[in-house]
Amino acid sequence: MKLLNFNKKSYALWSIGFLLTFVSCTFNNDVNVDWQPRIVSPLVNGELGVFQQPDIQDISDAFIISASDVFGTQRGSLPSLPALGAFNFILDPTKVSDTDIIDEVGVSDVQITVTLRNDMPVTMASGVVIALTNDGETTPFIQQTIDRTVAPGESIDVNITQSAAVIKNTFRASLTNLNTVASNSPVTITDNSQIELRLQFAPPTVDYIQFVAGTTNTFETTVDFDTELDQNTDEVSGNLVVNLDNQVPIDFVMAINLLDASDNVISTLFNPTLNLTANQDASENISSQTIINSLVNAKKLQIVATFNPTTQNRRIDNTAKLKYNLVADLTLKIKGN
Amino acid sequence: MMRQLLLFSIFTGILCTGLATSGLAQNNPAVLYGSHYHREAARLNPAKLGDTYTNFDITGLPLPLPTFNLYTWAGNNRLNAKDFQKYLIDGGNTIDGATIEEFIGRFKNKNIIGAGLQAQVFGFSFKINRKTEVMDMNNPDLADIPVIKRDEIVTISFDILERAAISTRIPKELAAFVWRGNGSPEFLNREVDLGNLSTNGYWLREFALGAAMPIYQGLDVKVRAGVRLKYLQGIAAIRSKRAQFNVLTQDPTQGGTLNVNADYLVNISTPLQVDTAGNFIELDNPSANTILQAQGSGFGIDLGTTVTIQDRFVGTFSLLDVGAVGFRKNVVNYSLNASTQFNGITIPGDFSDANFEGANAILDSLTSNFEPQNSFDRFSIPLPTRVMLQAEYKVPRIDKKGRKFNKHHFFLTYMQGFGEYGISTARPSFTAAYSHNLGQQMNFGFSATSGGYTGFGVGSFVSFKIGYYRLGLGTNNLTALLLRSGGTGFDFSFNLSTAFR
Repeated sequence: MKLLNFNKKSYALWSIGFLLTFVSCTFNNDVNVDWQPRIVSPLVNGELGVFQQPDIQDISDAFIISASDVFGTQRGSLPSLPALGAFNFILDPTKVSDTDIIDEVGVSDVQITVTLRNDMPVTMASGVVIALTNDGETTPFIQQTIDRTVAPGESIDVNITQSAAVIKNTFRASLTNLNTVASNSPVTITDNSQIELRLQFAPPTVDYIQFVAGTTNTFETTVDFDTELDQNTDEVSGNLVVNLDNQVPIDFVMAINLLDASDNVISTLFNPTLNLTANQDASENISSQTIINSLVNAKKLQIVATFNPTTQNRRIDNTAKLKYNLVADLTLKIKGN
Repeated sequence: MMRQLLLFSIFTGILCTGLATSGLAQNNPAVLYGSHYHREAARLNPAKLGDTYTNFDITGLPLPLPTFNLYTWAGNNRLNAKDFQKYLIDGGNTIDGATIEEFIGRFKNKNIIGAGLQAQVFGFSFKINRKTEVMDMNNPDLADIPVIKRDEIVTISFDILERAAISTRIPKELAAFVWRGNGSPEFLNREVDLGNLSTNGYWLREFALGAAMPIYQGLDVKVRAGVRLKYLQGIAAIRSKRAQFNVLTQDPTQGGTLNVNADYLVNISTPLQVDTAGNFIELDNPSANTILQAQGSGFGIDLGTTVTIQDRFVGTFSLLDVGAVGFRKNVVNYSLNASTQFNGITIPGDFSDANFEGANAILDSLTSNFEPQNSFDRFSIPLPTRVMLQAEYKVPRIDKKGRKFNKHHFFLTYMQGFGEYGISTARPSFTAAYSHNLGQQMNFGFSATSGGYTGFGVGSFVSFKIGYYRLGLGTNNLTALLLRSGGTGFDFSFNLSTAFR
């Protein structure tokens, strides 16, 4: 028996319980009390911006330097193999955005893991240079020399860090000064005698994104969302207040959707959409009972900000954010009274 | 007689002034103003002990009639007897939101509800007199035959008293805040004080050794002083040592931010044991020994003095219940000291934040900051310290046996507590009373009180001398019967004791 319990909602419930108990301690009174407090509470707050671009959060690629690239047409067992190289390989282009909406990205705290696997039957000599170079440029934005040998069948991870970089939407990886070590013992060359190179960027700090003018872009987020009102209330009415603060010098078209657990949209707060002017804030009061009912039942929240940059405003830095805040201003009929 | 009526009119006028200022704390008029219960009256006026012609009295022995003294009271300053009659007795009413709103509308800065009980299970007193032989000047024919004159040196008493009281203070806006919600327009954009929801109470067993004696006896002025030294066992207590709670709700169009500050410390000790999680363990085999076992102890003192001028005017000063009781056993302290600013669940802009689990359990994310902490350190409670000032005017008479008594007795009593604790409330009480004595055999009177827990109250009391027995009934508050919309409390005093020449 815990006589005092301050946790959860008990403070309020004890108080109102006292009130209701008092008035209902009657012999034959008609108790017709609905406890319907008006509750104001912020539900969520968040921000959208360049840091949310999923393309930038996951930059990766994989390349193969085939047996033919190194050994030509030689296959089968050989009693020995002389040193080969040096080879220089310019690999296939890598894209930050497959949809070509991004022109370039300024990033900080760049961390790249390069995985190099030697499936050749001979040792890869020390001194291989890995470089990443933007298309149209000659100076790589990342360059790293592997100062060790890589034995046949060995896979190594090379971690490259750099304080800042500018990455164009299309860049290329290159492998230069690749040499093999001579082998005096027999070797067998097959079609799988190749080198595999993998690039994986850790999510960088995005300083800015320069979008391609005239393209259609979105900042978007979808999160689990549960007000728990369906568990605690019999009826809900009132308002859902959406406060928006656009700190980005671009006009946005806003859509905020309430989703069920299966990601189906059950209500759209702005019908069809809300135009949010550059560098402006707005407060929208939504009183549709249909939407309020959906708010009670929603399990996910989706926020989509769509924009079309021009040449003048296409660069967006990470300090420019589109902030949103959902506030419940609801009259709740509390369950059980 | 005209003089007495004039005095009564003056007293009534002063009382009306008192009502206008809504002054008071609880007292027990049946013993304080009656003439048969000096030992019980000493609880409020220690110098009153021995102010009687009897030399020995006792309460609590299983004489042919079991004798005891009981005083119980309950009161509040918002609900009146009419409400109780309407909703708790008559029935047939509709209780709806409007009823609640009407009730909430009555809350003011100080809202308090309390109840208490004092039960004397045993007590006695005896007077030590100086005997001298004097000539009986009332019988000139027997002037040469000396008679024994008894002059009081000191009166000693011993009492065992069970005393319990509890009071709860409800902040002005709490009920409205809970009922209407924080979004009600009057609560937006300002700090709402919901603190001081506090409950203080105790159950104590008091062992009191009392003494009173005349310390100066001039021709016109007599001074009498009394003291009660008390050892107290603490049976149970609850103390709200800190009670603060503030909520600021921002307008929804400005973000609806909630700022909540809470600072609570509640000490509890009861006969129930407490486990390490702070939960009370129910008794498997409750017994009287377990229930009545002391959880702590303490000391207290009552002091009082009276000055009597020309046997008619009396001034009394009492300082009551100075002391404290410490509780050592079965203690649990619940504390909560937290402040938070809630802007809703923050959805991180950066998806790399692996800790984000979605905007679920929004209410829990707010209340999780307010989990109470438990501790088991000993604590103490103050006794309900009060000051009583009393002015009396009495009209003495001599009965057939040559004993003095006060045929008419007017009282003005001011009682001031130092905080909301048990029987003490910081709201002062102001009582005017009249007592009429029919030759020591019967005593009756009435009182009118303002302030304290219950505000305005009128009461009456009566007591009889039946052989060795003294039987009395009284109440401080008959307002509920006379002025039902004005009565917000009741009390009742029952006294049955014995006294011997």
